[in-house]
Amino acid sequence: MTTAAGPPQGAAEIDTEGLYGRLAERGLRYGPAFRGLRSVWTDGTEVHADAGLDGAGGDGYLLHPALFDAALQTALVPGLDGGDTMLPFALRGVRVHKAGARAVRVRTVQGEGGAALTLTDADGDPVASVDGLVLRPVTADQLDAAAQSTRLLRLTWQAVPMPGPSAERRSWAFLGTDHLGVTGGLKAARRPFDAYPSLRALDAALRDGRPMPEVVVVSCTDEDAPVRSAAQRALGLVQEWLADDRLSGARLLLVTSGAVATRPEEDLADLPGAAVWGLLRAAQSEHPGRFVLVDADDAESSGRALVAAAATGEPQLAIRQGALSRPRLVRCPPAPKRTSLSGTVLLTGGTGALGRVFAHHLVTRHDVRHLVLLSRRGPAAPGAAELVAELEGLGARAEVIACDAADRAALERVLAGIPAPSAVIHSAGVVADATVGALSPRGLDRVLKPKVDAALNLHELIGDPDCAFVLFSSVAGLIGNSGQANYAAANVVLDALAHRRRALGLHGVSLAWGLWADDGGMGSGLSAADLNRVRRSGLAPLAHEQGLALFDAALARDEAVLAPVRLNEAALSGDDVPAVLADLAPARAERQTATDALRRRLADLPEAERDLAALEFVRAEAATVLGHDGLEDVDPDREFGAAGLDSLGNLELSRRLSAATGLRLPATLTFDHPTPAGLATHLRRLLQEGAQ
Amino acid sequence: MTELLEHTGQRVYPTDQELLHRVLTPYRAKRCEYLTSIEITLSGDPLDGGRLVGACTFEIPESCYIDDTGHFNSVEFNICFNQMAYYLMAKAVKESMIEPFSRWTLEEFWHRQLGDVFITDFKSAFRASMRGRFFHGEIEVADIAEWDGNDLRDPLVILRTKCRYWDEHGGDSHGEVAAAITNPPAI
Repeated sequence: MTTAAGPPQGAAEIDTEGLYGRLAERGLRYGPAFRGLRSVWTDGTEVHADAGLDGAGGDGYLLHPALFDAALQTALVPGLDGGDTMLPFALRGVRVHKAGARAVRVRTVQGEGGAALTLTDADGDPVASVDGLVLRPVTADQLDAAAQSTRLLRLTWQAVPMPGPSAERRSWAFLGTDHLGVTGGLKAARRPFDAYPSLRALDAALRDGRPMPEVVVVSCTDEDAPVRSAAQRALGLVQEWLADDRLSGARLLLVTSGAVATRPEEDLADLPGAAVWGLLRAAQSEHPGRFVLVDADDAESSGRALVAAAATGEPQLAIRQGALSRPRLVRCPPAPKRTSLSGTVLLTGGTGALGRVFAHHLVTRHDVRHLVLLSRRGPAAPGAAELVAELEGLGARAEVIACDAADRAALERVLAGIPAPSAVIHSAGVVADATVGALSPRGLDRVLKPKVDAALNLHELIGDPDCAFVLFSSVAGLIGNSGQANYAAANVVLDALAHRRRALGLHGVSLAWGLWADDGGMGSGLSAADLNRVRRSGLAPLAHEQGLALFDAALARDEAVLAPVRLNEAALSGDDVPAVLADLAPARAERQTATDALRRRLADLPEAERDLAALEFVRAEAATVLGHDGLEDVDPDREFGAAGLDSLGNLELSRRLSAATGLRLPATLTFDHPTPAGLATHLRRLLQEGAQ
Repeated sequence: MTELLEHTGQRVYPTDQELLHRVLTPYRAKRCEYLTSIEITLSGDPLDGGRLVGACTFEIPESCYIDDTGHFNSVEFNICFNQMAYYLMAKAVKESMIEPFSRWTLEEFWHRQLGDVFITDFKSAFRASMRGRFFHGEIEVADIAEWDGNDLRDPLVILRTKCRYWDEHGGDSHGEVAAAITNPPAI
């Protein structure tokens, strides 16, 4: 397209895709509606550009804001190679000469009082002009803070198209006892399968030379199994699965019934199954592609859908009336009203770091006049006396009582001695992180007991339909945080319990909190590498006041499970964002897949340069995992452990290198090859062997 | 005999010669009784921040399966590990040091020592080869997991350990070994 005043002689054209990419690298991420620059030229002093609006609509403006913004973006072009990131700060002498333009040619000239902009139409007639646009530098932190927004999210289930029966050609087997009628469903769907009553039976069959089934189905809902047994059974199975190389090509499909709710009114009968979901979500994060979770409303009649579910490649699915859906977190609209708590409130974990923050909040921002704070140590907990004094100074009556809410008899005694509470807030909890391969039954119990046992006791003892029942859960359960299979399991049970209570006509809300910035408690053990991992996953730590505002917003909504989180919007379209958060990303571009990146890179190089390239690749991947700026921070001969790579980092590095090489690499990778140099040599050898 | 160091909360169990003799019985006929002493120190609860460590000495007069290779090799690493681990478990049973062994009788342990204890995961790294006949070793319990039985799997105890060997000549090797004990006594 040419316009009256074309680009000046000698001006170089700038690729606009690249331009928006470079702006994004500086933290200025323009969404599709604001990517209005079509062509840009510059000769170093002046910038010329064509800008336009996409699609219809937006009529009625003198000058459309997105078109004007695109024009202002031209002023950022000269500073792109400089040190500071600049943003438009002040405008002087803005005039609109012609209304309703949908495309303009922009000419921007740097002057004393800022940049002067002239906007003209296709005929060269003036559309608008700006006498002076002043830019000011903005720091990455300022941009970061602005991009990280606090949100209430809710879980929705999106329909997934059903592949036809011919899409699933793999061999199937059923493992263990079938409490759900899954095998009946498979038979009705005419899906042939072998059946093995135990892992021992499967092992014996494989030793006898039977081919390894490609999909192995396990039923995980058993109404006689308590939460602890169901979680332990799933954990043992996951560990056996990961430890047995013969199973590396097979997919384990775990079926529950009534463990997750796809609609608000669904009753959740299977709390133990919910623990399996949380645990397996973490296992999926740590070992992608190995496990599939399916919750079926009626397994007996869901055989076809189950086979289709396996063919979708989706890691988590629900089957309702034969149709498939998958979980996605979405933003909640703002709440219409505010709800205030009053009367007597019972708070577990009352002397913990978060408990104190909420105790203070309930007295100062709500109308609570009597607080009963439970904690295992009670008045002996550090700071308990000061907390009581502070709350009483604010005009409330506060009691700190030593009570382990997981001990039902003790909890019953406490409840008998206080007025009927108007609200119960269960904030108690501990973390005991371990990778799913290293998690022990004790590590599982340690986290389940204070969260789940206590929640179930409270649920059984609080039957007043008017009593607000708030459970503090974690988004770790919805995402399946790596290294937190136990914590994820416990929290998904709390989420399910909130649904359960609602189905029983009681109150229940589970708040699946994101990470708190400074809770002095559960998140305080996080390393820089852990925080880096959280940020790359699209989340950011919540400050106290942000969390409290989200708490109030959540109380005003009538939903069983809400996730109050702070999003790191800048990272949401990155590669490390969990699938359940993927739809929160603004206009997600198709991801560049990293598959085989190293293999392809090496193929392009002469033999003599490949060793160094492999080493640099390993160092760069290790730097990403460790949260360093670049590969120079990773010493080729320093052991990974000494450089700060923990067990989760090791898993992540193995996973990245597996993707980059197309090789299946063991979880013991950095133990067997403890330095970047040794690991690079090993990978080179494997790739050479593969090539032969 | 136990020495309790009051101020540190540590219990030290010197080598129990009679128990060691019993633990090494299966090795006697093959002339590979390598473990010569093992002093166990229990600090706090090893399953909750404490430690359970065995400090050992070894002597390998001659290899039991190969002509002299001149250095400590992975087969010997494994045999030495087994001897340390068997003794540690037996002593834990005898002295009621740690769950679940504190619930077992020695009879129950002897019954399971060979047939029901399996190494499930074995990682060893040799930093500098050991050439001497005499050397030191250490075994530390990293975790003991008790798994309930269910339809998929019978009950199981998994012992995770770290171990290390070294000598006066700079020899050094270490590893991480997990052992499964099947058929644990019913409680």
